[in-house]
Amino acid sequence: MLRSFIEFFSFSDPNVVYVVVGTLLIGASSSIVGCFTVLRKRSLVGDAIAHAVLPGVCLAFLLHGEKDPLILLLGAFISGWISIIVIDLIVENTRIKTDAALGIVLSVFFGLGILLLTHIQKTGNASQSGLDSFLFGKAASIVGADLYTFGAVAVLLMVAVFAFFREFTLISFDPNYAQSIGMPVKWYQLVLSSLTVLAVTVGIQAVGVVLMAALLITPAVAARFWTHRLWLMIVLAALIGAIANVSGAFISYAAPRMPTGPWIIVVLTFLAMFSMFFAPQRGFLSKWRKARSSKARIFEENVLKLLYQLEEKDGNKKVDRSIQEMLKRRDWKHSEVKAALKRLDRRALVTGQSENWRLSQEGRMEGQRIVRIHRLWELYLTTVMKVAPDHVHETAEVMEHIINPPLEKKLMRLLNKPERDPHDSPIPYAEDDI
Amino acid sequence: MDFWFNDFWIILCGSLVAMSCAILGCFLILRKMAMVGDAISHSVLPGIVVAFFLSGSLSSWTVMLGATSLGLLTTFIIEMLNKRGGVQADAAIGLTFTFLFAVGVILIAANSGNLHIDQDCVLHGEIAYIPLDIGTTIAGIEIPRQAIILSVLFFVISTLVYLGYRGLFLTTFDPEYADAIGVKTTTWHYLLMAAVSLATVVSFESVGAILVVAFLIVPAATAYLLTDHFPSMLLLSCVVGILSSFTGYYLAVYLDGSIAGAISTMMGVFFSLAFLFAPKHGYLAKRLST
Amino acid sequence: MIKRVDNSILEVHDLTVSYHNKPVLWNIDFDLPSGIVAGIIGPNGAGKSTLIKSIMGLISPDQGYTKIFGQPLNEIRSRVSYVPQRESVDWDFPASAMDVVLMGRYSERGFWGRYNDEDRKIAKQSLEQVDMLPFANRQISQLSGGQQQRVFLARALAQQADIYFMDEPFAGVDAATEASILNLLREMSHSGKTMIVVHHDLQSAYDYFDWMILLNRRLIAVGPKADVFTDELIQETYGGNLSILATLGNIMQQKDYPK
Repeated sequence: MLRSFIEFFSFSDPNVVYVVVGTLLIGASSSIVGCFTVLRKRSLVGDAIAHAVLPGVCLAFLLHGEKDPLILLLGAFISGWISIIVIDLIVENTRIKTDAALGIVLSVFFGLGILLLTHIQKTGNASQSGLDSFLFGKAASIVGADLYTFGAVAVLLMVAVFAFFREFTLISFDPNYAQSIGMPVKWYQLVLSSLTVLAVTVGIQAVGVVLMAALLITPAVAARFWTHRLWLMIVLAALIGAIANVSGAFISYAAPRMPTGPWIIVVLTFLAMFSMFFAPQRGFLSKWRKARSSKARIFEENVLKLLYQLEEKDGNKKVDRSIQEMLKRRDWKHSEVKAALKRLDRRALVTGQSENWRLSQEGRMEGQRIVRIHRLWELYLTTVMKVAPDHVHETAEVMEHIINPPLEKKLMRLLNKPERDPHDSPIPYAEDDI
Repeated sequence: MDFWFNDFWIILCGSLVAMSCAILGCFLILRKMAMVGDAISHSVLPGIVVAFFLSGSLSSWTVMLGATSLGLLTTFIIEMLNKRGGVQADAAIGLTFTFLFAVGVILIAANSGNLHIDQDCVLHGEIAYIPLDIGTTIAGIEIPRQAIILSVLFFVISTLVYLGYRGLFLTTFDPEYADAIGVKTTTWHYLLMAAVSLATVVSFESVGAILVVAFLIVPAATAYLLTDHFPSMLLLSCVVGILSSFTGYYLAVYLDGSIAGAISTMMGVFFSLAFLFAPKHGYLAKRLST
Repeated sequence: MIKRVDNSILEVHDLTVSYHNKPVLWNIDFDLPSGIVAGIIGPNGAGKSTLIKSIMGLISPDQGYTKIFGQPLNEIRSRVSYVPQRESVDWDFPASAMDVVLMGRYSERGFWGRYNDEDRKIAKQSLEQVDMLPFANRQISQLSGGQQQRVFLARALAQQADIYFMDEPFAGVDAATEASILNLLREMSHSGKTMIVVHHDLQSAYDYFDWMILLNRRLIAVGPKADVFTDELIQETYGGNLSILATLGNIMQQKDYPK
């Protein structure tokens, strides 16, 4: 494994150089275009185009009579283009919806392609034609001549996206608005569609017809988890696409029985899953962490509130309260209360040890704040929202942890700094509130 | 005589696949889930390969079970990615089926010595070889194994749709109302998805994993342009399926190409005719009336 | 002004509902007597449809519950019917008016059952009640908007429920349909059924309903229309100051507050 790794990445074999550069170009360029197709919610159009290029390739071969990569590409491009037009034609003129139109175009074009391909194979010149590479991809056998095509297309795509970045962004985000400010939306959509067809025609030579959709969609999905900014999303998608493609090429180099295209897709999907779990902010892990820490904070606030209420009840600020005493008032677990008290101790909000604790001055202020918000909110619900007094407690239990100081001030002013809550408990204020 | 029988069995099997798929396709396109059908047909591949590896045959119970559960898993993953992961619906479909299909292809490549599935089979099936594999002989007539299996499939699907017609119809037309009156919409959804998975798996040997999409969607869409009456739509989609199998077979013979590919092509031809000339919903009718 | 009812058939208890963590309905708490036509009135975005959807359990609330006839919703589904917004379905669907109305009989016949002659009789009666019997076999795509709305009503009628939730049945319908729906609402309330109708037009509301539920993300008033339809309450519904709720909603959305 290590040896093939070194062999592969030392680029001593010129074929390896071709493969690496070729897959890298394909991966990056289709990812860039893919960002726009995904954002325009047309992800599966890429899938339809990929299937639809096959009859074009076969017809180009049949008409031309021999394998000329450029002619085949041209055939692929034309038939991919026609497929987009047919999809729009069906959706605009009949009651058939987009999903079915995609399915129809995808499968019928592909069926025709298969019919032509098998016909060509039976007539005996399929092997030299290399049409198969359009079906399954041939990333592992990219040769020097291919690089010119791939490179040219990649450069073209990047330049186009760079030049029309603002326009593409606008028509992806809000085509109606773009139309209203007089932008030739149809024309830009046409350009974007053509770029997609171009990316697909080239991309299928790496991963094949069926898996092409992933080359467009998956890097964009993965990149989306990391950022809200479009240009950064595009750069990340290109990077992810490039990494996956080169990894796929390497895997099939190290284990020659392994097909390149499928491995590219597997790596891509893993990168997307990784992003989904570990991306900051939008990732599962970060969401889960946030939820857990806010849960812990709410529990701490509830402990402070309880300690404050105990003080309020007997008017004694100078005694320790045992955890046992707290558990009598709330349906909590001993261990979680203890852990919360330890955390509060670290923040100097409580003093004491193991089983017995009391509020510090800061802790008292905090506990009082929670109780105050709880009662203010109950009063707001009964007076402003006209909710029955016996129905307000549950909501106040939630809101006391959400309402922030500015909002609390606002609430207090709105209610004219009230004395008592709907249940006739006093609303406690801190000294400086007077 | 033998030659005639060959034709007959292939056309029969093509028609059975077409009818089973078309019936389900009618529900799929009305639910706007055509591409989910596409996704399922691709993602059952790893299930077929693994189950085939375990059982050694393409038409065993293991294969059907393995692949059907994978089809259900696919719909489940798509929904999870969409609802929990915040991935938009179309991207979730694309992401899921390409991954599972890729895994399937890798499994085939890894076991290429031991498996009797090759990439051609995945792409367009081997319907032409159906008459060679005899299942049983009744009254001196040799009946191919696939013909029996596909008849059972057609029977199962049509029974399901007959018995569950009301529920499928209601949850397809107005799922929100169905929910409100306490209908188990999720059960119906997964029942339909299980049927689609089963149909794709059983049809796999005949038409492959990709062209089955044509069988699912195109006849149903053609029928949808021709009628406003749901039972007629079911019936017409089957008729389109049979006509396509018949004409497709002879087109394939004429061109000496893939039969499944030719049947799909003919489905496209029938769809185009409906698209242009359908009395109420066709292109010309609409253009002429406005 | 929230009128309390002694023997209520619908009890909405402290319902709070959110979309993406942002509450759209706050602490909705009221009950309704039987045999009335109640209108849910409020401006756009007030959460009117959300309210009936969460009462029926189509959207699960963050907090609170609903009881109908004193029972949780799932025990009583067959007595509850629903008329969704007309735009919520695809009218290109290959079905006849009769097919749609028969759907109202689904729960009577269970999972694998079939519709019988009795169901067809009831479906015909329901179509008759909304003056749509002549169109029974017409394809729904060929019906006018008002006629489609009446088919939806007939479907709810065929269910023979006791309480009906209707989402904007008057939206964009012709005069004939409007009259027909009104007639129907009156007739049904006379026979003891309860109708809860989402309605966006303040002008016509007073003529249509017995009771009113004034809503703007929070509940402003519930009660007989004479008590509720006052300048002051209407003003509060359409121009009320919600800055506290709005600010709080934004905080909650940003915080991903765990439920």
